[in-house]
Amino acid sequence: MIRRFVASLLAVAVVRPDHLNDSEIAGFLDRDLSADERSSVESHLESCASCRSAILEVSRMADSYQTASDSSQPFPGSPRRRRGVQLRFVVAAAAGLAIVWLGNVRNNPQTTPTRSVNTIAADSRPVVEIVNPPENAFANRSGLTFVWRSAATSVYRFTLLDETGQTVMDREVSDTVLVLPQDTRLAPGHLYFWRVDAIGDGIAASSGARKLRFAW
Amino acid sequence: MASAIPPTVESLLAAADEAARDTAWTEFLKRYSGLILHVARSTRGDHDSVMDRYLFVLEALRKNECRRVRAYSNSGRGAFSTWLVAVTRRLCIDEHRRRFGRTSAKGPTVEQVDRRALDALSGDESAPLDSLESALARPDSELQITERNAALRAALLRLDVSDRLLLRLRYEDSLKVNEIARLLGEQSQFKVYRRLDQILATLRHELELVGIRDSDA
Repeated sequence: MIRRFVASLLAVAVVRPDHLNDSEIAGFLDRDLSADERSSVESHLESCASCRSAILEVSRMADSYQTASDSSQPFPGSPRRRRGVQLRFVVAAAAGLAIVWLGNVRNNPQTTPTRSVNTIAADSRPVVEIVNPPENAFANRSGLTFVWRSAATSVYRFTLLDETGQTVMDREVSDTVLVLPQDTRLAPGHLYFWRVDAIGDGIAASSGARKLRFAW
Repeated sequence: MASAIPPTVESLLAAADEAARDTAWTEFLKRYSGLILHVARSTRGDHDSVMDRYLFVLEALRKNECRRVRAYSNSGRGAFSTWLVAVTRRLCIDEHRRRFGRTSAKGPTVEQVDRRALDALSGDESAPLDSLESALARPDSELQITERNAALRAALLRLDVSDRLLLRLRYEDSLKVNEIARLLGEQSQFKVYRRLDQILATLRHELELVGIRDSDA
């Protein structure tokens, strides 16, 4: 009987030739469809495993993005999602990732930078001037000290990222000096990126992404 | 018309010339590149593949004076960020297929689906599998099978489409109840449990009306 149940359930399916579009998926997930539209979408989902899979993936991606960035970036405008955010990190997160990516593109001859790539790097903010270590340094991790010039703010956010854009270390300091903690997990010889953002009302100034490799 | 277009997106679409568009695009990227990168990373592949997809998505969004984004502003539904996740996911799939061709999607096996449905309709999700499988192994006459098939099909067709969707999500897609609750906008997973109970009770009742009981299975 149970096998018949499953078989019957599947046999009810009448798959329409087209699939849900992105707008219908977003509207369904955010409860932004009229009753008729929602009924139509539900009817399609009931009979289309592909669209159920799509809607599930979108939901999971949106939720995991929000979870991953809950403290640094909002999931804007979504009526069903929480919005506990610290706006000042929004720009830092996005620009940091974009510049990391830009660095990767430059290192990878198989990818072709385009105009859109160049616009990512455009950043009109004042610059936090770096004293140490120099760009592209091959540094000894032991006691490595990052030094930058004052940008007339009381808080600086230091971020160290690995070559995939994952944050390795993230600190807020009031000084213009930061000694690399001994317990920072690093892979010798791998490329890292680091940046310093001066935090005022949002990000007042930034060093931009800088490259670094560690000797062991 | 989309319900609420973020100012960043409005600026991008309102840009009068290429210079203004470049500026607006930079702001757009500052706001959304993290999200796009997150979705690109959620799909398969190594670091280079992820970055290729990311680049592909950016180019597709920028193409033809941001035609896709403009389409959202004209008739898009849901929050822009949700829509952007959906678009990015689709573009990532397109890029992957462009490079590697189509691959078959893997879903739950027939055995998995049967087992979940079996557990559910037995009325006891913790019931020993052995006893359920032995119940399945009981021989049915052809007539019984035909009658049950017809009765079940009729009962299923009488359900609301939303109830059938719920059964699909739970017993075919094997989703957890809390995830179903999120997808369907139910306030709590307990409401989903109650709905499932009601639907299964309805099915059992309909079968009993035509003389078919669980114990006959």
